[in-house]
Amino acid sequence: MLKIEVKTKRKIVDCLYYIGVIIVLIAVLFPFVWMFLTSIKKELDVLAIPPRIFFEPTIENYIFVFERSDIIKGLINSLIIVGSVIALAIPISMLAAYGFTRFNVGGGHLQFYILTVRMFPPIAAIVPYFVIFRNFGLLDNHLSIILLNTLFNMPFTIWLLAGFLREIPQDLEEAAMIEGATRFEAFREITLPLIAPALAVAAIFAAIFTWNEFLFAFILTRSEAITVTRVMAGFYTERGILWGPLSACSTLCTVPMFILALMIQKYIVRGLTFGAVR
Amino acid sequence: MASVSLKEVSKKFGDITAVENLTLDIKDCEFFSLLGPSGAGKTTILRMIAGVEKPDKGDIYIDSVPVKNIPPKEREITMVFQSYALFPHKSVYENMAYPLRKRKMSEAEIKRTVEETAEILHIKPLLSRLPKQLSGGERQRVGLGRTMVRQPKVCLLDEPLTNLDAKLRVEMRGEFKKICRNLKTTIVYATPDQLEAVTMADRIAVLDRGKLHQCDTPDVLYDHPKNLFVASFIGSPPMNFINCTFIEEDKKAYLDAAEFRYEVTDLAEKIKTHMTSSEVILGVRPEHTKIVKSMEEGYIQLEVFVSERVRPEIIVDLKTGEKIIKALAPAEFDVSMGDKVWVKFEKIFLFDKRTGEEIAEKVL
Repeated sequence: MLKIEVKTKRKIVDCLYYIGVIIVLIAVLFPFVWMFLTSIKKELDVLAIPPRIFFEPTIENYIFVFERSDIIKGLINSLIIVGSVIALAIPISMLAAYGFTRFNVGGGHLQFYILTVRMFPPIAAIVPYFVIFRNFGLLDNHLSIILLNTLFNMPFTIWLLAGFLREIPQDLEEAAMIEGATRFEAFREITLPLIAPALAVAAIFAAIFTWNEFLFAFILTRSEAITVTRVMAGFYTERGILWGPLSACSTLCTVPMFILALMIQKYIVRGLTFGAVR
Repeated sequence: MASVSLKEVSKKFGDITAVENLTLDIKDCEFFSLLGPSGAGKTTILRMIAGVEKPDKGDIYIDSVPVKNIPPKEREITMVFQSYALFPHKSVYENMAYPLRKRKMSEAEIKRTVEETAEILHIKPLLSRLPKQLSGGERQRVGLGRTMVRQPKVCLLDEPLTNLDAKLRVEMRGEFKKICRNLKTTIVYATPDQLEAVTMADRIAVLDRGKLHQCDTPDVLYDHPKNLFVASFIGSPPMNFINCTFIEEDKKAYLDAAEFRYEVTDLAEKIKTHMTSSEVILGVRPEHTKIVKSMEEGYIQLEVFVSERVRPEIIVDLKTGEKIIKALAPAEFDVSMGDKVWVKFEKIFLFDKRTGEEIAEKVL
């Protein structure tokens, strides 16, 4: 009697587990599926109520996007900006995190202060930044977006990298220094290879945050440094929201980040569970 | 090989005093042990000699040269950490080759030296493995190998045997001693295990909570401990301590313990000179506590509490008042709980209860 009860209990728990996973999957994937389906629907199908499940797919929305918007420029600009932000933010964050964890710079207070930069809504800072960049002639310029995104990503990347650095015993660096390495050599030859997964994770997060960043891009760019987020905003016209092309554009803009995440998912999982294994 | 000196060195971490006003002189090519429980300051001392920690006060000299401002890599020392600190992403070969690469040795030289050292330590078949693929004993030997590939002036070892299981530890102790002797360099070995220190070192510094209690050869520490702490730390099973009161009666002097009186007339003058109160602690090692089954002149009668047959001996626990003292007897000595036996102390130490300092000792 008892044996059967336990078995059934287990089966029920397993079922609930799978149901839970399916619910989460639906909740997460549904918007993307909807977006993609909308991007291949004709205008009439898009606006139909109730929503049409069977329809004739079309690529007219994608053609619209390529012909009528700055999507190419947007994609190129966003890639440049993301690349630059990673190139700037990661090395600086790495060194800052090293300073915090190995030398206890600022005694914990400085690190907390930097973290609080991320705690206030960026919109609060937009007016001062607009004025500053205007005075420097940096409006509609890649540099201003790169600098702002670097600044706003660093609290997170520093916090992430500091967390991982604490997991790496200082013994290793000290042993290297005793055996003949300078502090920098110990860092480069011993610590850096060990923290590579964390750097990948930090880079991905910075990339995704920067790619998706809308507020600063919207206010500070016009036509030259236009980003994908701003291009998408362009589909909100006086005539109404162009749902079809908007969905097509969104799908196109999601693709690069999707590929990136797919390529590095192994590192993300490793990086995020690093602490647990120890 | 070099001499190492610490002069009035102090180190604090926040409110905690790790090392207090320490002065030590370690001789050239000496096997010197830092012995003490956790928190004694052993690791801090090693790290200060290595240069990864700076003393707050005092000076450190290697070969009479002050090294306070010399970075670790220029001190020509090497250190085996308690965790072995093997580089996890490098193979055993690369771990051992690291110090040699830093010295810009040729690849051929490096290969030769590493393989030779690996041969001595019986780890040659492991050269291509990563640290995570090694057992505790193997990792320890790789850690040792990394220090052996060059000729350091001083070799620092921080509890290298602690992380090994008991059986391996006993095996490695002998091998370790031989390897260290062959290194022909000054060795500073930190350990909480008095047996390790006593069997391996030329001299031992007994430390507790940052303070140095006594620095001497193992024999002197065993035969003439300066205070209660050293007496209790050295020797296994540890020394027995019996609280007594010093009294004088009819021109004779006695130590009054709960269940017996011990005559100490010949030591009376010495005791009175050095004691700070009449509370005295009588210390006697289990191996100096002789027990017999029948009454003999001058022996004290005590009751057996329990006996432990630890062949080839028996440890007999005897009741004195509230306390238990241990005595060692040959395995043939058959006793049961509650038996009355007669005990003689063959060598005693007297300590002042308040200060813990040794007042007198006597061999009977």
